[in-house]
Amino acid sequence: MRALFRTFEVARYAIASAVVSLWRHRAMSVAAVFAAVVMMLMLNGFVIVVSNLNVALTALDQKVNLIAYLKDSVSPEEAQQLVSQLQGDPEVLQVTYLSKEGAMARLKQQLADRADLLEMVTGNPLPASIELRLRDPNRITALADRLRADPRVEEVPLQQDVVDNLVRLTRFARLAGGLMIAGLVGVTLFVIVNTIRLAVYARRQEIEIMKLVGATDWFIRWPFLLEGVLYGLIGAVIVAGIVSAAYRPIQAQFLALVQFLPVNLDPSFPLKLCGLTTVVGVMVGAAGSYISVRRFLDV
Amino acid sequence: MIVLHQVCKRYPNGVDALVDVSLQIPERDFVFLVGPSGAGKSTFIRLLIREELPTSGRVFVDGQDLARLRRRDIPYLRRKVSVIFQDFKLLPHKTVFENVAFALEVSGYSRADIQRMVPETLELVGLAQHAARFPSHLSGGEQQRVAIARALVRRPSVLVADEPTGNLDPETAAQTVQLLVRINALGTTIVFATHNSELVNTLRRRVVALEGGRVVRDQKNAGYD
Repeated sequence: MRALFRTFEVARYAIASAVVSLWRHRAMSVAAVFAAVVMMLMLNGFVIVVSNLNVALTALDQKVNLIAYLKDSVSPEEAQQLVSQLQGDPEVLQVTYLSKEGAMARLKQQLADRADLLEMVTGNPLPASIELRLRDPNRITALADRLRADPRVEEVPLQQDVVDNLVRLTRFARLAGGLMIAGLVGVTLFVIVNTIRLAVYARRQEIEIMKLVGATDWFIRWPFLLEGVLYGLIGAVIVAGIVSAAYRPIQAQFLALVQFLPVNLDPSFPLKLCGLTTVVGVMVGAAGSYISVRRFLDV
Repeated sequence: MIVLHQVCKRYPNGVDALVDVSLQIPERDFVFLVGPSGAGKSTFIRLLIREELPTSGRVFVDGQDLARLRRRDIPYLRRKVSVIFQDFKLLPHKTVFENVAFALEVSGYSRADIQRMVPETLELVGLAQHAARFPSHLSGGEQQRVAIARALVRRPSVLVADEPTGNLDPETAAQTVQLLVRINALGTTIVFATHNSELVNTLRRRVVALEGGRVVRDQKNAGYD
């Protein structure tokens, strides 16, 4: 029981000590937190982009070979004409027509309980579309070219093109993002290591006396280790706040702009993101302070 | 009980700080450790608190060979063997109370224990009324008494004083020594390193004289030379 009390007292001392130290050199603390925030914002951005790209990639792996988006000026009758035409085409296995209203309804259905996202979208920006399944998927290009020439058709994005581009984009995003984040983690570590080093130096008198009056090595180390963790944690909280506030508006805007590609609609995604951010923040903070303590603290 | 057995200490720069030192300091003893600067007094003290290891020979505190002490047990040794210094080594931004409490804080004592033990110790050294003051507002003698209180608050078996009166005027120095004599009477072993001949001659206790790292004299009821 005594041992438990001792541990509690030591923990209380360590936390209080870390907080006081952080406050004493608050200019440097702000710098450390700032570095952590920038790094974690990049990390969040990276994860969001890559996860959406993955979702898009998965969605494209569909049975629909070709989608033709119709111009807004095309009336339902004209659209039906085109559908009949295509149904007569021997190369076409199946034709499905989706009106503007139908497209909006489908999107609302996909969004399910997140339909409120569309409140920020004015009008119906979604086009009417014709989805085609071909007998021979290798004949896509020819048919796509024919459709593009048709005055009723706005656009025919080639699935394969889109898929290829997406794959390339995903690879690039992963690489570029990964490198940037690695670099930023390095910078954050550097700033934290130096901030803790400063903290150790500022308290060298106290540390000397602690050793003399019989403080254990860990008693001396804990406040500095916790200080690093605090930097990561504070940064994570700030980033979580920013991302939570900005996530829905940005997602709504994105949905309105990019109509052909599905986005990550997983409702638990922001929460998972916050969790990841916190873990990364704490780990980078702890790593930075651990490195500093090993190198600059003489215990 | 402190035992040194054929202890030698040679520093990396080739200096022999201690040569073939053997002596015993039983519990409740009051020992003056005398000698000129460089005689080995500070080295002796550093060995006692395991800040240095002997090059050869053995140092025992309470039957424990300090060389075989694990690193993580050193703090516990330092709670048994307290040290006070010429420069007091107080924390300037903490009050008298907080400075003394610090020694308890680092051992994980509860607030309740600290509130009980610190005033007792301050009473013992005669600083109870200065508990809320800062070291910079105290005289040299009072600051040294704070250091003594901090060294004492955990009731160590041994209190080592490394030239504690070096920065004090003769009268205050004498008062400080009297305090240590009182503490010794209460049961704490005192090892008092000094080159202040007057103090030693006045008290006539056991004197261990070091010269060039060797023990040249070990007498009871002795003077400085």
